[in-house]
Amino acid sequence: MSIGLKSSFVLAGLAWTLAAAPVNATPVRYTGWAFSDVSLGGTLYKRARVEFTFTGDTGDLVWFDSGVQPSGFEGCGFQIQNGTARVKITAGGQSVTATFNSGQVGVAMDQCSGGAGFVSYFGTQLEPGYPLVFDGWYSDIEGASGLQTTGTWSGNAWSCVGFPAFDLYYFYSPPIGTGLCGDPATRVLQTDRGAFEIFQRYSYFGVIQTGVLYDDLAGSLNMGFFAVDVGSTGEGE
Amino acid sequence: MKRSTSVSVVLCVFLGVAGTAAFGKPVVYTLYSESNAVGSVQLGTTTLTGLIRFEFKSDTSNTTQAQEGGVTVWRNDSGDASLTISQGSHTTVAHILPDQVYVRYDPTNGVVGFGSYAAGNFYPMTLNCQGSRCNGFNGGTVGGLADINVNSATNYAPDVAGLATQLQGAALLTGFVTYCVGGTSTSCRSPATPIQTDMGPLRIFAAGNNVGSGVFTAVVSEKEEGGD
Repeated sequence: MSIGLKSSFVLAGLAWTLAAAPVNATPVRYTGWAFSDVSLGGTLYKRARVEFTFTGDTGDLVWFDSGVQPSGFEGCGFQIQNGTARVKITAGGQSVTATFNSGQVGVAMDQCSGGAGFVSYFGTQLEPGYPLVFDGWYSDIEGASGLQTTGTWSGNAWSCVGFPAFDLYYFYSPPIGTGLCGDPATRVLQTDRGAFEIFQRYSYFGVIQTGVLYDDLAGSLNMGFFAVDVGSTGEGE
Repeated sequence: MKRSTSVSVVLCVFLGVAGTAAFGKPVVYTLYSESNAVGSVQLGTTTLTGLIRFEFKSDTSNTTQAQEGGVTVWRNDSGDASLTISQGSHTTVAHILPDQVYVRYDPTNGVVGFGSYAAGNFYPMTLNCQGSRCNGFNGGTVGGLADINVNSATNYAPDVAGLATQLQGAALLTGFVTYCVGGTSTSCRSPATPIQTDMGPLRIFAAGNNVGSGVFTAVVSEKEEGGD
């Protein structure tokens, strides 16, 4: 419900504090979607509807806390990695669905900095803004806090390798970060239909420094939706 | 031989002109948002929550250009409109009765979505900019395109300018949700007259400082209508 002026999805901790979440075990489905360009199995789909789903159990939600990062931000909240992640791509009246290899894609909600969505894991490294997350800029995404309440929310959509990329505008000089998202080719996700990549095409660059993202909030002009359905075991529509 | 060629050329020219003027293609305009972005959504006596999808099925030949408030806008006033709200496996579909809503895009001020004859260009739901200036910072791609129209594309990724539309082809726009009778959120109030549907009256209520995002799309079918 609030305007997330300082909110920046910063699940940036590489040395997290993790703790089991004291919650009841209930089936849950998370859905996040936006329109974007994606590649699956070598085929490029432009301006496709890209819908991620994750089916799991609320008993597998884990509390995390990154501690205060060099940027000054802190990421904390719930995440879930144990479950099944899929992506459905719809373009030109055709749809294709792929299942991600186990453990690559999870769902997280950053209650400290605001933001939620589908994150990815590469060994011990986390990509907190890839493949699809939503920040708190003029957003109601904070309503998804806890990942245990049924609802649908919206926000700026990010598919950004290396997120958070940039913290120049509000706080730092010189800036922290490169101001650009990394190449998705460096973070290829594997599915039962081949390699998957998603691209961030609609970016707003800074008025202070040309050619880099405005910031980690308004830097993405894409928007999308995140839903939690507690008690659901299906794949949805 | 020469006459035959001339006839073919004339016929082709005629068909070409007719194809753009009278032979439109089916188009579906869709506006996606969600119920947390508004005060509440009431259909009949039921309050609904979840993903909101306004849909308007028409033909590209119905798209018109107009001058409104000193700027050029694109609009489509003829089609079948519906509202779908879904949360998980629960889906409600209401068909909006004819001659109440239209689709409109104002590229100068960065406003796109569904307006109504009873309550104006912003209601039942549109996407536009927040704040005093319409640009990417305040308004998604619909704001970015407005900024590009007035200034330049310097501050935007190359693909943003490619999203420009006149409601006659495929479209993909994003922005912040406005559902206000008569104007922007600064003058937001609840509707005096509901929109009539086959599921009862539809009311979208304003409340507090609700904020949320939305996506507008247009999908054009390659099949022409109005031909043989």
